[in-house]
Amino acid sequence: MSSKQLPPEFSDLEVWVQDWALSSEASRYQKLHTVTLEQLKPFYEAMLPRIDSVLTYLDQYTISKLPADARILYNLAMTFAETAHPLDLNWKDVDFPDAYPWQGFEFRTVSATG
Amino acid sequence: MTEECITIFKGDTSRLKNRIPMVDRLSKEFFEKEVKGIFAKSWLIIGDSKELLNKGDYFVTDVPPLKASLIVTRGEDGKVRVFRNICRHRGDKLIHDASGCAKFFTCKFHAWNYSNTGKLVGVTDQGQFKDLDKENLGLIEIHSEVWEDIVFVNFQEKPDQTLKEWLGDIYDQYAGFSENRVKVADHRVIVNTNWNLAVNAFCEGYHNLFIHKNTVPDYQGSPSNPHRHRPYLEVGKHFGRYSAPGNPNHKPTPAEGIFYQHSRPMFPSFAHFDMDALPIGVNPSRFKQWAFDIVHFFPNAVIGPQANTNSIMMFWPISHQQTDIRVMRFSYKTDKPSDRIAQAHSLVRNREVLREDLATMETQFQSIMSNGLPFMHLSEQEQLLQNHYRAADDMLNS
Repeated sequence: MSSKQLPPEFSDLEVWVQDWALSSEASRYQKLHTVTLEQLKPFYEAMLPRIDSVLTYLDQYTISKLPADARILYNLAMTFAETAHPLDLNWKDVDFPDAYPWQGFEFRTVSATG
Repeated sequence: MTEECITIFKGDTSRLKNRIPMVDRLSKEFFEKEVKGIFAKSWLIIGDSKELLNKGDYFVTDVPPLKASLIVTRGEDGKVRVFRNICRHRGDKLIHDASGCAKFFTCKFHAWNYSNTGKLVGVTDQGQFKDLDKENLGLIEIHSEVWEDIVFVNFQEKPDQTLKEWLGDIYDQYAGFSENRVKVADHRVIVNTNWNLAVNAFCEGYHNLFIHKNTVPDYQGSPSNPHRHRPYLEVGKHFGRYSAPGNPNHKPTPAEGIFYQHSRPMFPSFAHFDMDALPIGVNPSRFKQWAFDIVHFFPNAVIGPQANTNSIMMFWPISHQQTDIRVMRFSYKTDKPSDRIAQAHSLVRNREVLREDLATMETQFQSIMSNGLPFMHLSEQEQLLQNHYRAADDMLNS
């Protein structure tokens, strides 16, 4: 893996790119349900204080014209958006008790980006 | 500011029953009656034409209770049509992929060729066929109508009613409610339950204080509305609808709060905006703390209009004991990164809420099928369920 994939301002988040900059809802869902809360927590804690700056940075572009490094940052932010709720809601696990089995979901393609 | 919530009830409730015997309704035999008496005769939601922006765009979908595969396509003339996905030669399935864009559909068996308006335009080695009436061998069209981008079909040879007659007054009440939106999620799950229980789970708000405590603990209700009564609830011949009360004191979670500072609030935060911009069918009572509406289109679909998003849910019976649930979510078109990220967060919150709903319907089915529940008891807040069974009985007994 190349060492620098994110815009320089976000080099502190570089360490999360390989495992967490995921480009589809299905892959992010899979990730959420195959990590432990202990594995999710450091990612959440790294992203939460930075997400405000990340969103501001990304909004200087449009989605369709994101430079390559901003695209990776966007994917990282999307993964955070879709995996923040267990910690946001103080769950004791990445899933809640008696949840319908996550494996049952099928994801169909959609026209919206990312 | 909160407002006291007294439900405004509308519609004819004189024939609704609050005790429904269930076990016979969920049987294999009863399901066969429902297929013939309800699904073969009703206007059914099968999808959304936002997926068909360009001429030639198509998607394939199926209608499990009627064992039908359908092609939904926008023809060269711009009109959306629905065809059976069957080649007229020897009946092979014509299209095998889920979606695409094509001027012509070619059967892979012997390469009979159809235009996207359904005409049979090419027959391989046609000279070897005697008396082939090509004019009458176009794709078999199913009656369809696009209403506010939503595609309805009716499998009757000649529908007893037009969609407008079937829907009644609400037909004209939703003009433009989902304009400028794009599909942002399409989820499917097959659940071991009866379709009636599945659609019922999405037609009342009585449950949300309890079952959704994990995912959206404070999105509805308020101190003046502790039981989260619906501000508005209406039943009609083939529909039921209610408005849900947003919580003015909702505390966004840490990430949710940041996303919606950069973008427009969405579930489970609800926007305050100019209600006059809404078509009259959406939030019909103009409830100030409006969260979203639920509209049940009898028999098996629900739509959820909301300020910056809307959904279509379909509950397709595969058998009396298995239901194919399809959920499509739409949101405003945008090319702004923080908008899409905020939308994604909202979608996931919705997805988790759905997984809470799904958890109840398999065990509920098992309990009822064990003959352990003589009657289901329904409150006034569950009037859409009462109306669902009234509508079913009306069709089955007609």
